[in-house]
Amino acid sequence: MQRDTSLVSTPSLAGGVRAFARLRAFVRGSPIGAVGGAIGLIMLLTAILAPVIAPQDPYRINYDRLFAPPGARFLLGSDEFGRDVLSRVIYGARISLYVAVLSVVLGQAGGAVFGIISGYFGGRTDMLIQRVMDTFMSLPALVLALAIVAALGPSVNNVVLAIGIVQVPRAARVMRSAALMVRANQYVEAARAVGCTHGRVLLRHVLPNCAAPFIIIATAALGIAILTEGSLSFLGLGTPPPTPSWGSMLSGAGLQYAEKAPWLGVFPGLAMTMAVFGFNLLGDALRDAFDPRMRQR
Amino acid sequence: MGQYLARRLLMFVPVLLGVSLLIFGLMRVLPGDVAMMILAGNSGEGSVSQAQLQTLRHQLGTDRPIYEQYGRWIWGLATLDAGRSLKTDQPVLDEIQRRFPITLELAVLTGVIATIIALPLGVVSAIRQDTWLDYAMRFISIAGLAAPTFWIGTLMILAMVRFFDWIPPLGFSSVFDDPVTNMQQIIWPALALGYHFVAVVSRMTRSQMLEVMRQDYIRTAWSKGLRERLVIYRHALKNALIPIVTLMGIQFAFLLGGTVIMETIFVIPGLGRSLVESITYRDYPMVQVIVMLFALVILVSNLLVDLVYAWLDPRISFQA
Repeated sequence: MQRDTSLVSTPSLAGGVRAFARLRAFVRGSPIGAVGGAIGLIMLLTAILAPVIAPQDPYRINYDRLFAPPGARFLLGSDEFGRDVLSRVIYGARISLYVAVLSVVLGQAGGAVFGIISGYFGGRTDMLIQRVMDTFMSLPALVLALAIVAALGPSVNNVVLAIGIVQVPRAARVMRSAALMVRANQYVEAARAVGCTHGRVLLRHVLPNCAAPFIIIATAALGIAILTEGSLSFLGLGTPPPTPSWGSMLSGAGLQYAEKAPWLGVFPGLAMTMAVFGFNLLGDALRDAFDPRMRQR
Repeated sequence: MGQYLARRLLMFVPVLLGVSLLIFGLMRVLPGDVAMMILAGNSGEGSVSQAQLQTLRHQLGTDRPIYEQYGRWIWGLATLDAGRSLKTDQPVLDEIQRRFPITLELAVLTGVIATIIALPLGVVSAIRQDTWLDYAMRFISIAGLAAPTFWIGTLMILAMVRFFDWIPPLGFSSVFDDPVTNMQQIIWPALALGYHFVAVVSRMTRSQMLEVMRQDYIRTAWSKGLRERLVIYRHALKNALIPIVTLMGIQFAFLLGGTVIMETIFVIPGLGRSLVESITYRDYPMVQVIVMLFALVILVSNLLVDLVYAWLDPRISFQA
């Protein structure tokens, strides 16, 4: 599990001077988006560098120091097994980010495939895909995710799969309307006229022109994915213990020992809120930058 | 209108059939043999004889082909017989009948409270744009978008225990038996769950109101000398409402999912908590029916949203 997290690579900022200039323009043009990006970056670094940052082993049990309040030895206190809450919160960023990023890539890409095919071909294909999506959309996302995890059994990768699947219908809907708009352009007709196959038109002409809405909804989905992972773990059907996950840290101890050790219920939730907050800001900024029509004042 | 309703209700059937296939399929992928689980319990699989297994499988019907099991289940649903719970051996529908009104009460109460809070918040924030009131409201709403509902619920309980030394009365009582106790129990999860709804809806209300307030007909209304309240609520808000109502429909689905969490935190014996318990116990007849009910509630709420459109905008008719 811990090795898997390293698959999430740092986005390379060193793409020469131009990339840096573009980054600076983005920060100046949208300071709020920059704050969101910074929070996201901090979370990414926390996840990758968890073994370096965490003051203690998140799994180490200290029976002599159960429920230690926040202090010098345990900055954010210790839990019902005497484990360091701070270290567990830091390691929790790994699971949260791993599940969020992977499920968003999976779910949004799946949604994009269905949506673009649906919008591009139209007709009976469109009809069929849309009815299937309607079926998935007629269930609350959390309930659907619960049912999928129940069917597959609780494990981190099944949680990724469940949260990914849950995102497909909404992504498909957005990408379908994007594809509908792109299809109406003359260059698509021109490409067909010079003899391009459907596959080539889809890959080389439709797909690149649907990139902007894709990036916007994918970023917005990151926050929701983090919340859903938290909810599943909170209900005991997500990340299996003892792996530190913000959701499961809250569920058992956070509630059970509310009176005795309130810090157990506060810090994991705070970390999660900050993470979602960051991705939401970033998503809003990207939407404003790419799509002025959807701008919210 | 009647024809429109009939057609919409007829459209429920294919979607519900789709959901039934989906959930039935998922429950058949469940790892492990249910019969084995029931018989073995905690004593391990060695203690179970083949004959016992066969008998129980036969009783549960799991020895039949999948399509026959599905057909029986659907026929049962159509004739209001969803089989027995594997956990309690009681008829599933009896249990559902007890629990469903509780979840519905929680969801509807949450929706109503949140709407009552969200709309004025959004309106005030829009007409006082860029004042401290607007900033405060936007902060509240941005925080509400990010904070997980289960954390809000946890914090709420934490605050009650810590600062007020009080928790909602134990032992759930229904609205009909004891409305006061019922309110004490259900208002907290409703508030915790409603926060997200308020955040989303008030944000949308604000941006829609800002859009509408710039329209020519609003300037006309002002220059006619209409009172502020009339301009804002009759002319502006009513025209801003359609996208807001759409969003509220989407949010209601989210809220319904949230009842699962709230019922778990606040120990409310509704459908959501039963769903989690049934999943843990692999009580698949129960899970299947609960999921179908959630789908039905969402379909009905979508229909209501569409009906509200027509009420808000007379140009939308049901003839097409």
